Amino acid sequence: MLFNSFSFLFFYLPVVLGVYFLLGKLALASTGNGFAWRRMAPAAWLAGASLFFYGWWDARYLPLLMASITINYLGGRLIVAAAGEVRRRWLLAALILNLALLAYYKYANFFVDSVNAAAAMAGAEQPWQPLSIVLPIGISFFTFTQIAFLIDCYRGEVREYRFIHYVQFVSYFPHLIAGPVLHHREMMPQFADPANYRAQASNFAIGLSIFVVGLAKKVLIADNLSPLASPVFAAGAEPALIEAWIGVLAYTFQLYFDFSGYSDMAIGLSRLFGVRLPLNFNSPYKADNIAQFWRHWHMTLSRLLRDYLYIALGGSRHGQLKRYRNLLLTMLLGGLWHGAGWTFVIWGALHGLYLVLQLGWQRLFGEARSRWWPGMLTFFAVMLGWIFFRAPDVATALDIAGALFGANGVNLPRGTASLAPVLNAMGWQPAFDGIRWIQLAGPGLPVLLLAMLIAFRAPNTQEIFCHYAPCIETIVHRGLWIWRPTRRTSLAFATLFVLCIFGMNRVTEFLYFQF
Amino acid sequence: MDAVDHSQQQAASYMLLFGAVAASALAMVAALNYLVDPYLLHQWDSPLLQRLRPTHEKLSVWGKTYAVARYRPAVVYIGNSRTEMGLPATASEVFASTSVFNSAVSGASIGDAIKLARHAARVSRVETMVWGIDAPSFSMEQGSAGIEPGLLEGGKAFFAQRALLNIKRGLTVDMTRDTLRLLHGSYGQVCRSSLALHGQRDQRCVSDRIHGWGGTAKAMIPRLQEFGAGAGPTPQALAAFDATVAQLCRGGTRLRLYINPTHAMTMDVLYWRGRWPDMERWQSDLAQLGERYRQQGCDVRVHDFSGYNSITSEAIPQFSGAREMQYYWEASHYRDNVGRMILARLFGGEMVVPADFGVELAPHSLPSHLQALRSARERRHASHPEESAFVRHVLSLPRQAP
Repeated sequence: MLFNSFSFLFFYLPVVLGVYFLLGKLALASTGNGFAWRRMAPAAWLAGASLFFYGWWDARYLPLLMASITINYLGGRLIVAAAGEVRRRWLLAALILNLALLAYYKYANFFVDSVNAAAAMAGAEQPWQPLSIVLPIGISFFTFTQIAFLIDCYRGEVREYRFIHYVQFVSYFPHLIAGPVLHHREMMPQFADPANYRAQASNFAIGLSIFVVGLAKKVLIADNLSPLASPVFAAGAEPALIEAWIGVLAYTFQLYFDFSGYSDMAIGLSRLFGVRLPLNFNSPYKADNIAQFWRHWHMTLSRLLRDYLYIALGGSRHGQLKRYRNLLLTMLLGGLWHGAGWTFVIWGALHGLYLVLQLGWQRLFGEARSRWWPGMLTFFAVMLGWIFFRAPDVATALDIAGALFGANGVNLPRGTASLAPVLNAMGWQPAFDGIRWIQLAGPGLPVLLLAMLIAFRAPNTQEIFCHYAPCIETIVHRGLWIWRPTRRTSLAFATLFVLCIFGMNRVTEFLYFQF
Repeated sequence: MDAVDHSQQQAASYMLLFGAVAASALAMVAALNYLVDPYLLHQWDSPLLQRLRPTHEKLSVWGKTYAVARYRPAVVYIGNSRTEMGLPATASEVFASTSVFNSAVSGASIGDAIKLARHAARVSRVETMVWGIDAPSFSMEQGSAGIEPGLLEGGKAFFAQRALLNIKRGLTVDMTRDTLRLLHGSYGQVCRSSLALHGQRDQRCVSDRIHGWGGTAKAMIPRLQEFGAGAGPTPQALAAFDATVAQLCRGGTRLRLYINPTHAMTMDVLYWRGRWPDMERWQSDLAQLGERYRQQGCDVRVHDFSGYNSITSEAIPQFSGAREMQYYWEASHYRDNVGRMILARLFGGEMVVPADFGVELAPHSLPSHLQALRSARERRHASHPEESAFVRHVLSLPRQAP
């Protein structure tokens, strides 16, 4: 089930909310010892509803999710109960189990394909047939969330939690499919807090409005950019300069509005239940350097990689060279987390290299002080990375990257052929075969311009809602666009919601579902 | 405490206004679009079917999947635009007192047609199914017919589900705009919906469309190119088709499968594209499929109307000098006079059909049929070298949109 579907908005969500607060009312009214099940009922309902949400996509993988949750919960209990070497062995076993699950479902075919490709290059027969595996949706998210939980159990940083709250924490439907990646320390106390069982108008107003912003980002912006990007990234498209720039820019903003829109929707939905989620995007395209970009893009994953991988590898504690190595390794594995393919490995390596280059530059020349070029350079570097992230294969990615610099020539619209003498006199000889792949008449190009304006100049969702603590982190913003629950705002958001519904008939999946 | 109460009250008013505005706006638009129904999504036996509309029939698959469930015809035609345009549902000389519906849809691949056939069998009481097929569209690629899963649901709740789906579809900008145009009187008024003709495309729509493209001669080139670009025939499609035939046979449906009589030049397209062996293999598979199910007691026949016969070899405007063709709209779409001949060949009747038009495919006669097809191709290439060169030239041109 998708957040941007009628069945979710007009059936699933009202039913889940209604029953949750009804059970919440019963739970709050139950004070005696005999009513323990009533006090657990809202959490159980929400956990059950979340599993139903997951099973709606493909019920065959529901047992897998349930098994993963149960085994990791028990694993956590065993780790907490053990000490010394036994404790370490339990952790190791649990980690191996999780990584094996991920390796089988996500990376087995990548391995098979790579071996087959190597064999083909060597002129040998392909040794293995690809396995028939369907990637369970959200597997990277729920596996990594639980790996962090296990490590914290080992570190002694986990309190005693009830199983039902653990199920709710892992399967919580707003985040289950595409994040934000939750941390048990932030979430479990909220799930266990009976105050959240009480329906509050303020939570509804804030949550619904944040959700509408996310929905608009997805439906009105990201989905309208998709037709600009998809044809350019198709294998064999060989875009010329202008087509490549439009296609790559379109994807750069499509991904941002799609994913940050999903995160906004998740934050908004969770707020309806009185639960705050961590911030996941904080205007990443305004970043002045690549480290800042990663502090503002998919923040919960960056935090996870930093806390459980980079620091575990040694972080910056053993000198500059080891620091660079750890950064490169972390980003490389981060790339692989996103997808089983060489394009993702290259994307991760590229970002690792960017971070190393930035650190090296800062050591040599200090912080860049210019107002313009650091931000522009960062954006361009990120955009270049997205080519590998999106392209179906490395050859296509290299072709598109080359096209950005004119490697595939320049095609101008046929109507501008009269400019040929002027351009030729300037030593420039473009073709006038027209712009291919790009629908100039559709809404794509104006939406692209609007998307750029919003991403570079407008406050982000959390800044707009800063007076109402939209997420776990504190956001400070002083600007004109501040949300307040006034009549005018209500009318504006209702209108935006109606526009979204009008754009929702072609239900499209979120880009981050594949991870 | 007062401040908290005030903020909760303020939030409650915000939610109330939000809900009221959004709900009333959506309800108004949904009701308006549902009542006006500019694309005839849920009409049958309704005066609205006679309403004139623009040439382009939007969402025709929605209207047809609904109509076939309401009408519950005994004879159903399945296929793509060739069958939709060419096979008349009002062929009283063949189906005198039988209900007939042309459920073929433009842009349908064989995968789409399979879905429509299964849907018709589920929601209707189909005694006879006439199914037009051709090699290029015989693939499981998603066609451009716009078939959505919800349209093909069966069961008792079909009409309730469709009502919900239609209401949902009404919440769109394009439908609201067309509803307003219709009410304002600025929605085009060229021809009738196919539903008014029991599913067959109104000839005025086709004629107007061809005129818009610049006439038959101009439409030949993109249509020939389009024919050569199809992904079929594929083994996956054959397997899915086989399974559907099996299902229909089990249900006791009489099946008449026919290869569309596209113009002889389309055969040349397959030949020059190097697809001739695939086409022969496909015909052979179809002949064997028919024989297999006949042996199991199913009333199934497979006919080939394509090739180089007296109908398909009609001279095209580029060489005849005529503006229009007698049997064709352009290279891949035949007129309904040809469709009547197909029905006469399949079911008998008084109409005189040229002897060389329509050959039944059976395993024992297939080798001679394919040999005759090859000989006819060679004879035609020898006797019509300009037309043969024209096809090769068309295939060398960049792809044109019709």
